[in-house]
Amino acid sequence: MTQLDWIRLLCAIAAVLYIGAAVLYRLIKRPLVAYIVHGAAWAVNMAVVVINWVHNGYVPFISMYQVVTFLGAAFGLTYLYMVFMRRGQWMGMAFALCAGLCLIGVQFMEISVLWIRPPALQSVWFIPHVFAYMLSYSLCAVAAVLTLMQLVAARRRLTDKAAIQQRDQYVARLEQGVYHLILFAFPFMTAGLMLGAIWADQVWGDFWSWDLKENWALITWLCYMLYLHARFTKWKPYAYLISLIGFVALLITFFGVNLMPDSNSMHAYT
Amino acid sequence: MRYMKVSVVVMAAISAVLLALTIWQSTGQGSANLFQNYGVFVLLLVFCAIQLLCIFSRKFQWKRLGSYMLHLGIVLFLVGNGLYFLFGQKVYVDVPVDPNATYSTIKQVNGQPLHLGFELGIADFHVSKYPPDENGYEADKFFVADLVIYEKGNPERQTYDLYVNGPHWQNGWKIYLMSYHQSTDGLQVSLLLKRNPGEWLTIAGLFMLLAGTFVVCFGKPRDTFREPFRGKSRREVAA
Repeated sequence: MTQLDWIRLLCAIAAVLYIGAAVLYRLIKRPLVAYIVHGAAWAVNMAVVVINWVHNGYVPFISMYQVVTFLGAAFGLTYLYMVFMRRGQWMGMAFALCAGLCLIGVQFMEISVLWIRPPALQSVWFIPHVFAYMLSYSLCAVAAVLTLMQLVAARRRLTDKAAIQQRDQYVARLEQGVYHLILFAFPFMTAGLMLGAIWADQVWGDFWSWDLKENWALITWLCYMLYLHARFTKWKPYAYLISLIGFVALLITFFGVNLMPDSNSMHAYT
Repeated sequence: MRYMKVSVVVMAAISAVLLALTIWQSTGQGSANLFQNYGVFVLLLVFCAIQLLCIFSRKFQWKRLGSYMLHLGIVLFLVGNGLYFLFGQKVYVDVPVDPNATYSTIKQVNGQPLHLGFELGIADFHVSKYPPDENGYEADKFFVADLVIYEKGNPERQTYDLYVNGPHWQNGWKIYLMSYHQSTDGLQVSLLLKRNPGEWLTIAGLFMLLAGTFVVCFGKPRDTFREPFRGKSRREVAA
């Protein structure tokens, strides 16, 4: 087996463990076993990140494969914050599921441990810019999963009063969870956008170039800002729609821009 | 909260316009020029006005400091960029690598002469490459130009290292190393020279917006922020 095969295998093991943890969170009442499986998945995921780091000699944020592998690990970091600071241990399933999906995605990507780092990426702003974005993307992904769960739960038709009350409490908890996640994600998304602007001024001579990737990132940021504001107006019941639109914009920013026809994006190497 | 609904409507309108233009750009038919016009400029001015309304519509309260910083940061950022849009200057020039030549007037890439107010030259240029890939292509690892400056009325030669991500300030100009190429006249270095009267306002705005966002989002939760969890143990919440 070559080194790349080993890396692919480790990613597959981490993905299976993450998905296993998500299933365990869903099925068992006492989630200790799920925590252990989740922790093991994160450890394997981190091992891949460390291998990439050691082989490159710098933080592995250059290729899509490296970034998505790191994104998988970022779910573990943000989950720890949600557990200890926001009592969000009940979100474990969504965190594990999203991390698992990332590592399943890695299986379809070109895996290479060595990637060249062009002069434009040799900047002090590079690491904080990507790191901040990865933290925010992980939280927004979990928020999107919880929003979908909220929609499914809210549509469940029940006749029993107690069951209806229980369902409403569950939906309210999901709604609050989404809000907490986006509230935590938004400063990091802002940091990613702002640090990116400062870096752009250092390397390209403009804080803002209306580049395709920048525009989609701005649309994503505006959507989440809109969500946070709309929650305090009479449009609160529809705020979830804005957060979902924001997540679609996020996916386009992260994956879609490079696939667009003749995009000529200055971010083409990302 | 009085202007929250107006803010939401304006933000939604701006997002919609931006989305429409970006989708048009995404099809490959539009370019960044779509956004660099007075229509977008006016839209951003309205956005700026809404930020000011959010700051000054209510009596000052220390507990809303984060919110003030956030909205003021957006205003400073937009004003800084507005100044650049209206009064800024950005020119691309090609400078031959020659240890003995300096120029006080340079021909821009578009053919127009540019009077600098100082003398500029590139004395030397170094480039290091990555090992060749399977197709034999050697990508650039790092390149640096030796920038020579003579200030007006000062015969002392000043030299600086100019590299990508390392621009140099000179007499209000910010000089960037962009790329290099071989021409019939020998090795040429492509520079970008920029004057931005709103530069520090923009940077101050960025950091104020960033700090304000962290204060607001990580500060003490407001109203219903933690209601479902309040007074409950972790075990109860997990259940």
